[in-house]
Amino acid sequence: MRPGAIAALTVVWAGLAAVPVRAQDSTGAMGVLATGLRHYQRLEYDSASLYLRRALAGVSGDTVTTSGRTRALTYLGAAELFRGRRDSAFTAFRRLVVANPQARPDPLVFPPEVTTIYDFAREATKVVAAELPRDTSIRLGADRFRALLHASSFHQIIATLEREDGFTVRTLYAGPISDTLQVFWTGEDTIFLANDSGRLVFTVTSLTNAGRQARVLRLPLDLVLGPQDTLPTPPSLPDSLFLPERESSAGIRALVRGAGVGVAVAVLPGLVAGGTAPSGSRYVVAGGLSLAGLIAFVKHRPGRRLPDNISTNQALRDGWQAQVQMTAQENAIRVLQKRLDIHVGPPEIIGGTQ
Amino acid sequence: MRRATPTLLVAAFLAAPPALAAQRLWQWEVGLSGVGMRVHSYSGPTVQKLSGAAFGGQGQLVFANWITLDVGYWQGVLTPSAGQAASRDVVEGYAQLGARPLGWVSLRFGPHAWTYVSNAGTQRWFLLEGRARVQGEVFPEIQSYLELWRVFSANVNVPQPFQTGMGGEGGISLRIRDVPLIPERYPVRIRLGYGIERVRMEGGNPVTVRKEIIDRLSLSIGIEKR
Repeated sequence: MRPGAIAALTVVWAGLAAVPVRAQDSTGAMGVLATGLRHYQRLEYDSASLYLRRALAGVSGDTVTTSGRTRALTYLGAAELFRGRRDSAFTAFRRLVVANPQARPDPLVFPPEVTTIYDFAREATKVVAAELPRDTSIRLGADRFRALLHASSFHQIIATLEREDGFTVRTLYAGPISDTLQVFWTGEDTIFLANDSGRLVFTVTSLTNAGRQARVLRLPLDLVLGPQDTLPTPPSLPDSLFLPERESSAGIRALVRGAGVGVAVAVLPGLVAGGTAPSGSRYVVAGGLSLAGLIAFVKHRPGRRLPDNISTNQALRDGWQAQVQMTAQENAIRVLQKRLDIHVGPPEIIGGTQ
Repeated sequence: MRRATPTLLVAAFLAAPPALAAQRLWQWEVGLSGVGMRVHSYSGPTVQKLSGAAFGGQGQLVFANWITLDVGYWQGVLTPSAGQAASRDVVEGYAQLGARPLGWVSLRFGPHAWTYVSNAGTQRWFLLEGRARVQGEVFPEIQSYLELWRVFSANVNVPQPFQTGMGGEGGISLRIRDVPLIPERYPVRIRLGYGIERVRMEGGNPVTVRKEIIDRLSLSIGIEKR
């Protein structure tokens, strides 16, 4: 065979061989995980274990998601157990506990042998995961920063705030944890900051039954101190909300409607019948109308004070004044208070099973 | 007179309050009334003066705060107050359809008829009238009103043909809510009014003038749902 032909065949063979690899790579780590799970379902535990390990190791720099990692480790532990490798199964489950202390193999999916060995692994692994808001603000002296801790199993922990150089600023909690625990920080330790910003480290140390340090979880807290936002002063009340405090033209209108119509009634015979034999009875009606109009005019004469409206308006003004005072008091407190902005950085784990 | 009528209407319009939004689809008012009547019948040089009382009732139906239907009926006896005229029974009624373009203005049009029955015979008056009415509040529960109308045609069994006719009425009404035995949702309205109407006919052979002048003092009491 000529060297040119050999080279051509080599290129073709290399291309053909690379096709499945590229196809596999194109599906990524999650695709490999899915393949591993399919093999597990077909009871092909050896190949399932292989694919699941590849998924966990990452393919072409790709990694599985957090939930994918939990699934991969759960099925890997089960596959290793069914392959007769209890130690590998135990190790896989320890990794699962470390990755997600709250994860549990579903007892409806996995047989008791699997869940039992998982329980052993969980009991033997003392780790804590922390759930903190990524960015938050608290009012110093009024609010508290909260960290929610999830433990794999019962053990002793020490939660502290440290400077970056390791100096313990405050011990937030020291004691046992079984499942979950809330730890609070009031933010008062910001006096340790050199200026209005800086970094402290939230540290959770898990201890072994013997009291030795098993694992340390460190979360950097980037802190910025700033002034508290103040409330705006309530806007002035619009004039449309106030009732008139003095009579305007209501009395005049009533006079026209009463006395005016009364006069019209009195002169009706002259207008309609040319003054022919008018009846005196019209004066009864005209008098009644005029009297009503006059009384209404006196009662609602222009410029007369309206006490009900005055008191209603005063109540409105008093309410607004009280709001202004409350706002001023609140702002006076806020000026003295400071706001602490907290940004939580990526976690760092020291010791224990990574 | 032709100048005074529009002046009165304009003055009353200006004094009236703004319209209120309609609250109900149907509103109504019904009442009983007594009317003190004075009738002056001029026929050429002779004049008959009668007076008396008639009793009856009236009602109003308002649809959508816009369309109105007014009806009324009275009957009574008129006796001569001077001269040798004979007593007459009088029966009067009207049924008029109208509109209320604004809350304080209403217009209506329709027949207004009355009949005199005496030993000498029966005299029927059938008039077609157009009326305009304004009303305004003096106190929250007291209203005044003024109504003017014109007679457009008349059919009377007398020899003279119809010439002109007009009338007017003004009054005061009081609304009372807490009346024993009457549910509060039906306020009682008491109305006192004075009205006068004149109808003139001229013609015949020989030419004579006939005038009928009726003035009425009415007191009514009724209930309403608005």
